[in-house]
Amino acid sequence: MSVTNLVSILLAAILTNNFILSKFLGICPFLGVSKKLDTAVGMSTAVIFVMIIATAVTWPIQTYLLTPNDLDYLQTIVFILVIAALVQFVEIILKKYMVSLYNALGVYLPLITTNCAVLGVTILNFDENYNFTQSMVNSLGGGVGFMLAMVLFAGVRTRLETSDIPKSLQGLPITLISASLVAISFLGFQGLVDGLFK
Amino acid sequence: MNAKNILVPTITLTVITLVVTALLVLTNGVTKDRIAELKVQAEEAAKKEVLPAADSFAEVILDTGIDGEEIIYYKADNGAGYVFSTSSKGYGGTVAVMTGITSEGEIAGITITSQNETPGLGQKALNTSFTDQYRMAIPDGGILVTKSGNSADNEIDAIAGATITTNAVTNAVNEAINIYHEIVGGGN
Amino acid sequence: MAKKEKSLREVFTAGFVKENPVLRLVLGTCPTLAVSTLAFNGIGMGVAATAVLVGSNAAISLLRNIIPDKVRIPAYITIIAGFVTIIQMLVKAYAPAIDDALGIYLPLIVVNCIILGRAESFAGKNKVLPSILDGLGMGIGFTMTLLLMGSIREIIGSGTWFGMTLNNGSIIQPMLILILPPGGFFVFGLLIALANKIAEGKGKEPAALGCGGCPMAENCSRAVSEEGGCK
Repeated sequence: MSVTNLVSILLAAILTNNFILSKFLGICPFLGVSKKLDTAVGMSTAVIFVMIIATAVTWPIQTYLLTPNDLDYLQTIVFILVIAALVQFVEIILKKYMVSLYNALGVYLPLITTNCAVLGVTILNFDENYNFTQSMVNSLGGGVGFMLAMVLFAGVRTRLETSDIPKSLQGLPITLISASLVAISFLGFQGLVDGLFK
Repeated sequence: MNAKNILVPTITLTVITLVVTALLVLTNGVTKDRIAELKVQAEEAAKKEVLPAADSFAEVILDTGIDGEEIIYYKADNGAGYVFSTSSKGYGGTVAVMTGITSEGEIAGITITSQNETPGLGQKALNTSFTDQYRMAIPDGGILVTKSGNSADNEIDAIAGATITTNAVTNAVNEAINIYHEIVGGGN
Repeated sequence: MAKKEKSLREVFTAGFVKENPVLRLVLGTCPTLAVSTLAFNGIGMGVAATAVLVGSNAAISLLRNIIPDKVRIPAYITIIAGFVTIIQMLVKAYAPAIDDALGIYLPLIVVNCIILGRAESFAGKNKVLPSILDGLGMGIGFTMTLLLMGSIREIIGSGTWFGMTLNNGSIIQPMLILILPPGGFFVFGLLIALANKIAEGKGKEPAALGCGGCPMAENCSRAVSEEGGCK
């Protein structure tokens, strides 16, 4: 586990295996909250925040509590409950001690609880057998990739507002088709990580 | 009043959680033996597939001397050869490969034991038409990948549009070859 | 009663087309996009999700008068997670091929908005039998949509259907892009456009990311205020 290895995990999570455009985790907020740039940034910052904290808590729980006691099958239920509790807890702390941060992010926090992206990254860390540092890097990359996709897409959707769209495609369909085009552009990153590190 | 407002919901939630957990423990008890059995069956079947001449296998642990890292491989009890379990990073995650190498230094076969590659694309690597390509005498300098379509003896034809998957499988096999060299060369 | 009592048959068939969870309520988008690369995967996911949906709807409906409103969401999540884990274990033990095919999306059923959404908007307020039928109907609607999308992507994208080769490039070169992530977005968008067109013909609203009764809906609207991202 060298620095190169960590950088390659980071780049892979952000670009080649982008959580939204490649793994389809976090589609609901992607489609729902990406209309304006500031909400997109607010939402993605909250996601990065929660992903990192969730990994920091779930990794030790699985490694030191569940696996040694043959309780792997409790992973799903333990993780989701931990994440839900964590988000509640963070919201309370932010409200009391970091009011400005709460005003910026607080409203997005409950939305992230039942979100594929956060639960997804915590499970993925174990599918890939990452150690603690690798898991943290993976989550950071996942969150940053989420933000990248959201911000880019917010730009695309702002342009869509002033375009002439056929009736049947208005609303959700054109949003999805635009998303597919953004996803194609990300396909271009295939082979980037391998190429850089070989 | 306030205590009741907090107490009742908390107790209800705790009870529900306990009941659910109990059900899970129960289901686990019922299914875990079968799940473990399936896993062992699949592994044994894979080992037999890549080294058909073998009858049964013994597990051997090799200390690489690096960072206390150990490599586990399987030696055929009847001396037919060895089976190695290696992996490499593919497109959608880790690609795990089992390679069977005879004691004469020939790759008897490979099989992909786990992967997360794209269906219809990288997953074409699961076809025997692809994995059969790896059956060859171990070449000097390892196995190479070619996209030209005309592969030399030490080359593998890449899957069209799935070079990353092809490279992952090839890297895993080359790693198995390296371990083989280490065992055989080290007079094991 | 302020609202009309729906007949059991109406409850059951609502999820097929009129209130199709994917194409009309726009719920469960994550797994829809992810597992519709192959028709087989689509059915596997659909069946697993339906099993969870029926189980959780039944359980939540049974307990609806006992669960205090304050801890509604955590209680729902616990029950749903329980069912998902049970299905996970059963699949691993008796249908491991489905476990391999679905991968991480099997445990992710626990955050599938369809299940939480139906728990909140139906099972929590109705009797057991209608809730079971609602779960079954929504599940069937989900499965049918996954089958449709999976088939389209598989047939055009790789020339096979359920693994059987229909077109090995002799008729027309398979369009790989459909199996890759962009293809998922694209086909999904077109299907919703089609569903909207049909709905328009019947005088109904086009599908919007309304979170269809997802309990997070009020947080959604707080988050986007006058933006109208989530209705």
